[in-house]
Amino acid sequence: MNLPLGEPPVIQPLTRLVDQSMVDRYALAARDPNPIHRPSPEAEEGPFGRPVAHGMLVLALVSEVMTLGFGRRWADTGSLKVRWRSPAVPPISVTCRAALKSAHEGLAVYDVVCEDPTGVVLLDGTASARFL
Amino acid sequence: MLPLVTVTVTREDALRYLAATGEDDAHWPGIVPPLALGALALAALMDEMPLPEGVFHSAQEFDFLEVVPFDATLDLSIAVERRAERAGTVYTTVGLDLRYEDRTVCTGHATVVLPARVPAASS
Repeated sequence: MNLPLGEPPVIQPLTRLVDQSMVDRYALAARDPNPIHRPSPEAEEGPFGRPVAHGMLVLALVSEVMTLGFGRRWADTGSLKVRWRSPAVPPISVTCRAALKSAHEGLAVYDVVCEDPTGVVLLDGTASARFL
Repeated sequence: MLPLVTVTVTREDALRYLAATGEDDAHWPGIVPPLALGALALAALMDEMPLPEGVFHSAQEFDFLEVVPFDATLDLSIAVERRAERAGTVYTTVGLDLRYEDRTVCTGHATVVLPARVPAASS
C-alpha cells in the first residue's frame, strides 16, 4: 500500500558513527573491495592518503532519512542527485539533514547534506519523492 | 553500450546491505531497499568495467521508479556517457538502466574521478 502523505514530510536529521568495521561490512555487502577503503598500501598511496569510507555508505544515510519520511514511496518515486565534497575518514560521526526546498504538484524536493561534527560537508545535493 | 548484465538481489543480499548501513530492515518487507539495488548495480558495473587504482566516486544520481521484490532478476545496461580530462585528471560518467520484466525500475548516473598522477620527486 502506498498511501498519499498529504503534505511533504519534515525529514528528521540522523547521525551515525561510521567506523572501520562498518566500512568493512559495507565492502562485503556492496561487493566493493576497493583497497582505498581499508588500511592498505593502496589507501596510503591513494588520493586521500588514508582509508576512507565508501561514498555510497555515506549516501545510505540520505536514503535512510528519506525512507523514514516517505516510507515505501521512496522506493518507487525517489530521486537522488549528490556530489561528494570531502572524504569520510573513519571513525567519523556523520549527520544527515534534509531541508524542504520546494513542493510542487505532489513532488517534494529537499536539499540534503551529510556533515562531520565540525560542519565539514561530506556530501550534498538534492533528494526528492512524491507525497501525493 | 556494454553487454547487458544480469543482477539479482536476494533477501540475504538486502539484509546484509541493511546490516552494514545500519538501516532497520523493518522498512523493507519483501522488497529490495532502493539504494541497495543501486549499490549492487554499481558492483555489477565494476565487474564489467574494472576501475584503475586510485579512482574515487565523485557524484551519483539515481531515480527509483518501481519497487523490486527479493530474488528478482534484473537486466542492467551500462553506457559510458561522458569522459573528460582536465589537467591530467580524468572524469568519467557512466549511465545505468535497470529493467525488471521489461520495465525500467531504476536509472542512474555515476561519475568517477581518476586524479592526475603527481610525478615522483627526483633526487
